[in-house]
Amino acid sequence: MNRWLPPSAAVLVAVLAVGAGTLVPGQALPVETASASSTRVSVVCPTVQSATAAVAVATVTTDQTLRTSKLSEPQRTSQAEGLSVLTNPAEPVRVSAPRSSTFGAATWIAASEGSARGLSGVSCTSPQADHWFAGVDVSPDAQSSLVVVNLDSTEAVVDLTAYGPKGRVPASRGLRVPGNSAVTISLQVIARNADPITLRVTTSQGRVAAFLRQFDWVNDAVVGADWVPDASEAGQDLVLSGLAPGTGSRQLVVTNPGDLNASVSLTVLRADGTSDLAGLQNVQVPPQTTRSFPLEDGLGGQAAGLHLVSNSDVVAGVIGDNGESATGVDAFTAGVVTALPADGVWPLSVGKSATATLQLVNPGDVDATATVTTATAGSGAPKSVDVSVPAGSLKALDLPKAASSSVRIQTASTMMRGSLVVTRKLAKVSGVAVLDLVADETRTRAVQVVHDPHLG
Amino acid sequence: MSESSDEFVTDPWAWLREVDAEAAPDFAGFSVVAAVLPASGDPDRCRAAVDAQDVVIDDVVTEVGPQTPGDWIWIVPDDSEPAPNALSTLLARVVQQPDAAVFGCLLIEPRRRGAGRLVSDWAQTISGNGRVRLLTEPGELYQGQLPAGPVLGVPAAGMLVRGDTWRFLGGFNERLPRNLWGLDFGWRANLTGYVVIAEPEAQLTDHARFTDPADERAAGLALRLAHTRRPLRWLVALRLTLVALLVSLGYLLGKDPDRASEELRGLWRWITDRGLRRSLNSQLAALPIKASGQARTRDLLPARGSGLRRAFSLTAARFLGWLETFTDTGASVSIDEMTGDDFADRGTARRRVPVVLIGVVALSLGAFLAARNSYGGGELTGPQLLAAPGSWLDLVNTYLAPVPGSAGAGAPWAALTGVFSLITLGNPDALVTAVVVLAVPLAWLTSYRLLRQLVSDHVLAALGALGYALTPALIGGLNAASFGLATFAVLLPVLGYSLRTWLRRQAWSWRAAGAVGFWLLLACSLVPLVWVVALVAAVVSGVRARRVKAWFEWLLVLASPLLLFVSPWGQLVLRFPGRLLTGIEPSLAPTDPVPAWTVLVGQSVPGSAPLWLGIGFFAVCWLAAFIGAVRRPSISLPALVLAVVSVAVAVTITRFVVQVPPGSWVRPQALEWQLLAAGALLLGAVVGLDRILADLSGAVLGIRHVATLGIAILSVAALVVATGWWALAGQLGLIRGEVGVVPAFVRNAQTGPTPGRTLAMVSDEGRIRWALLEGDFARLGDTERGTAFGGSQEAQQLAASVATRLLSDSADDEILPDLVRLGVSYVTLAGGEPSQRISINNTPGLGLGTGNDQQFVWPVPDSARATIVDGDQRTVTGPGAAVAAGDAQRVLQLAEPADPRWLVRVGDTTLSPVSGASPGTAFSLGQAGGTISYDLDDGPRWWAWLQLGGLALLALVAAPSVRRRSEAAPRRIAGGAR
Repeated sequence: MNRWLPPSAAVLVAVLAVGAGTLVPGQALPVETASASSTRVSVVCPTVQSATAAVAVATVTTDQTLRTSKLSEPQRTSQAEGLSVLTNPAEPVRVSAPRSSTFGAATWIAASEGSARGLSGVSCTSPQADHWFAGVDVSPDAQSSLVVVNLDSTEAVVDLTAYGPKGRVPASRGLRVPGNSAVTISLQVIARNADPITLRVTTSQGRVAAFLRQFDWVNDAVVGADWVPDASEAGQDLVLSGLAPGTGSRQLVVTNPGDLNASVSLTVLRADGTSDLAGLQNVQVPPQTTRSFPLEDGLGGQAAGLHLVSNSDVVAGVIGDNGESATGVDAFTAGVVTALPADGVWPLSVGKSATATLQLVNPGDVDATATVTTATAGSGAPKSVDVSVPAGSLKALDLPKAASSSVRIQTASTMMRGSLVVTRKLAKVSGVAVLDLVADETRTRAVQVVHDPHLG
Repeated sequence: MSESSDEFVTDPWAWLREVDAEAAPDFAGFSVVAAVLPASGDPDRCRAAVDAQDVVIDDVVTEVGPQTPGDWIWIVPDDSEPAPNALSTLLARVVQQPDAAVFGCLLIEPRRRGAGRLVSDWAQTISGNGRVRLLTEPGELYQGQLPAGPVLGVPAAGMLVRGDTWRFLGGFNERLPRNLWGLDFGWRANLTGYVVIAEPEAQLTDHARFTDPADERAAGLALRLAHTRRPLRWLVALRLTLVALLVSLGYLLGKDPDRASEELRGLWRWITDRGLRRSLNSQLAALPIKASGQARTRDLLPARGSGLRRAFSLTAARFLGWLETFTDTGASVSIDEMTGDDFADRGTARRRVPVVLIGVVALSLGAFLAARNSYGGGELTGPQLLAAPGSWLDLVNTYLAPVPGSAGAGAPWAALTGVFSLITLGNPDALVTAVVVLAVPLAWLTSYRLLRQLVSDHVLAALGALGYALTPALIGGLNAASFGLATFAVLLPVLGYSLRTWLRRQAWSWRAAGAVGFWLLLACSLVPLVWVVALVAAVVSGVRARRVKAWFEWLLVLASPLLLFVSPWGQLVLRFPGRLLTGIEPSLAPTDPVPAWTVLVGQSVPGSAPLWLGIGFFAVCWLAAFIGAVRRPSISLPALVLAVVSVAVAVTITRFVVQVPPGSWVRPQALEWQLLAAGALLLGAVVGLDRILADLSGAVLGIRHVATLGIAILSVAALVVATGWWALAGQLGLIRGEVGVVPAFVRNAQTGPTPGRTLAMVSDEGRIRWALLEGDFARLGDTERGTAFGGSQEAQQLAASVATRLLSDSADDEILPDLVRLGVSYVTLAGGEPSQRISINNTPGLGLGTGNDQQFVWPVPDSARATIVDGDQRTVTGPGAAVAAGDAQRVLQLAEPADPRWLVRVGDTTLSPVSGASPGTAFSLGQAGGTISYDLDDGPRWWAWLQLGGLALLALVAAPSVRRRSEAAPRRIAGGAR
């Protein structure tokens, strides 16, 4: 036999073995999912004390049972399944759910008069160490207060930092919040200014849930009572949704907490696509200041979302109103919205006469789709509809009218944002409220943890 | 012209020669009686030799007695053949030393061919332990180097005795073996003042048969004891007995049962042969022993301590002989050596530095350069190497100690490492350092030793060994600090060497098979799948041998590694068979899938050589092996096939992920298979290309010459570049430092009286690495047991969940209870951003953190691995702590996996388990008080003793043995043999 044949055959076998191995990719490691943890997430829903307001703390869950309790009595819990509404609670409500469950909670307030005049809604949130409220009205006629809630048994210490048009504004520091309690901090101590400011709430000890409520005085009447949404953290790529259609003011508030000048590019997301605002394609915000920019002319009364891209971390919000006279005016505040989770649910309890519109904004480069499921309390099966939102545009979806309902959004997109825009006639007040659809889990910091036996 | 002038005409210097010339001695005055004694020899031959003497012999008799007449008696047994001048030489010595009474000859071995006279027997003495020694080594070539002089005894054959001396001493004591007649007679002669002279120029050819060494041993003991003063005889008898027993044991351990049996039989015969003892005693008692004679006799006996010195020198010689296996050519010899005689000089006249010395020194220096990152204090660690524990017992305990929950078990290689670290005085870190840092020179040494046996060109062997030794570095194993790969690289050639030694023997040997079994056991402890290769080799070898004994010996070889499975680890491997596909500590290996081609060129692990170097090196290896297989297919082709199989195995097993104890999923790295492939290629290349230059030197210059030159240049270039890369960047992954990333007080809490665990986290480039720490931190071998919490997967998942929730700012109120369930006393974060520290700070119930920019620590209140729970109150405790009596509902919670083997006691009370506390376990404490103790009762560890016994037996078999007597070698007398 040719002496070359056997070695050649051996080498050929080796090559074939390697070739076969190349065709067969390596088996992937099994994904080790952690077993369902018994840990629970707790959120707090604020309330207001008003004889004329209808306060509804609405909770909704898609799978597991929620527990609700008064803030001062955390051990006395009540069970809640599906969509549940607690009306006119005397104190903030603690809502807890297993970490793995899909749930939402929000506080809706409707009043035709009194200190809570107007329509407002705010998501119930879990305690954090850092909160941003952009668009705080500190005009001479405005009144605002910060409600901080400590769900823990240990004391929390809160510091306030305010950013005004000309720089940082003196604000309170070292405010103590006892455990299992809520403290209302008046912001009247902040120097008055015609332009809105941004307030940052941090904790040097413990953590708190924070809600900022404000309204204006017109003569002796309260107008435009509303919640300023919590932006959670500053960033360089921000999306705001929930800019309600209609007349009225639309004021963009941008705060630069950094040490360098911020150059912010502004893009409007509408139903027909992306556009710029004349004269506002790029705005400059000096360090440590807050700037306001009028948008009403550019928006033309259309529903819109905003996409801000900055060269440094900024915070933003939009404050607006319904454009009516003092008797019918109501204000709303839209804040920065993080991307919708893969599966999120939010409750509404705004009355059957209210009109609710779901605004979905897609600032990304590719089209996004979502399945929107609405369910109303006590009637029929949930109704689902698939919604496609083209890239760089907005889609508005009218929701069925109901006293209480829930909206569930399931999407694979990591870019889509959403807000609920609710309008309701409250006697003479044309109430308008915007609820930013931010799931509590998206407020938490994503952390990649890896087991490393070498640490030992 | 005168007559005198005529004389000087023929030889003018004749007058000077007449003056110088000695007168020939005249032995006519000696009256010699030759006693040709019957001794089962050839009487005719002996008589003819006696008659051919150049001295007149008065009489020839065939027997001698105590009163045999004659002036001189010459003893010549008929199994000897005196040289023609033997008697005249003896008589000449008599003339020179007229005061001597006994003269002995030099006995020469009969030779069939060749020149040279080998000493068979010569002047004798006896050691303090009764061993008869010659004054020269038996088998030595006599070239006139032995001096004549007074001795204690001379061989009876050829002995010339003054007649009156003979009759005075009563002749020989024929109860002794004939080999010792001369010693006994000479000893008595010296004691009574006679002088015994050994004359080497008087020679006899000794045709005597071998005698029973046990008889000679017994006689030696009897002689020694007889010449001891009576008051001390019982003491000396005891000493002789003990020494004989010890020597017998030594021979047994040295795998020479024949000699061990001789010692014991000799001892027994000495004890039971009273007649011999009596005859010796009575003969000595009748002698008028002079003080001068005693003094002279003492001078003729070996000095004190000579036995020990001899033992040391023999041991050193044996060790040097073992060292010679690294330079010896083995069966590979050149034509000059084959055509020379037995004493042809194999070396050259020029003094050369041995290649092995050059290689070891150079590569050791390179190793120290390569591992320069590992200098300093602390323990050696690396990406795939955990620090070794402090003592060898800790490593052994890593294997023996049971693991609660039985998710994991100690692996046998850990215990073997602990035992072998006795070489480094019980310091495992020193052993690990030596093996990993010096992996390349050690692998070179063992592989050179093997290759030197296979090829005659030591340079080719050295280069091939260098390629093999560099492979662990080139494939990234040394940068990964893979202890298993480094050990396997050193071990594999040793296994090959013992396998070759066993298979090349003319007769199948159980001892050699046992040695192969020992090394195979060690190899399988590192890479279990090697056993399959051994199985295939067994089948092939057994079929070729076609002998039943061969099959049984292979059975021994294959059964030896199965000892590893006689343990809880073996049972665990049955649950996790994937462990058989991996090396040691597979959890430390990377888990990312590797493309198959990277396995072929040694690029599958981070830290491997640059791609161009890996491709170049392995391409040269494949090319050289291919050419070698074409040139010499008988050996090189199987080696090439082995390489192909190894590559196929490596590619295959790296496609899979497997589950290994304690339940984690890993991907086999197959580094050892890549090494085996490279080793097989280099083996095939070296053997196949041996003496290619000699073959080509006589051929016409052509393509073969060019190809050979090309492959040589490529090979040298590849080796040079590979060596350079190894020295500069091949072992930088080895680092040395303190173990554990936690402050000292946290470390102390882990090992204190109320031990707790630490959840350690490190912020690293945007991600958090975490680990659950306990005790003295995770050490070498612990990953297979489970580094913390017994390797419980449930605890692992819970710990991962807690780490995530701590840093994701969720701060839910279940974090603290989870930490308590894990037995965590401290949470640490090294590095990280201030917001991450605030996240942890916000955890309800967690104490305030303290620290600096480098590290923060948070205490977990009332948490330890053992706590006493009484309602809402928790009290930390630990083993050995005192517990006061208390409420009936108290529970002792252990943050350890549940296991029915837990034996928990408080004082004299054994606690019963209760449900709950998962992933830990709980026991009902109730009102009991006392000292707490808890341990796993895993019953008698018979399996450990079985493994130890089997390992000791195999190690004994594999250890170098004493050099045995060869039947074909010149005759030795008992005690005089090596």
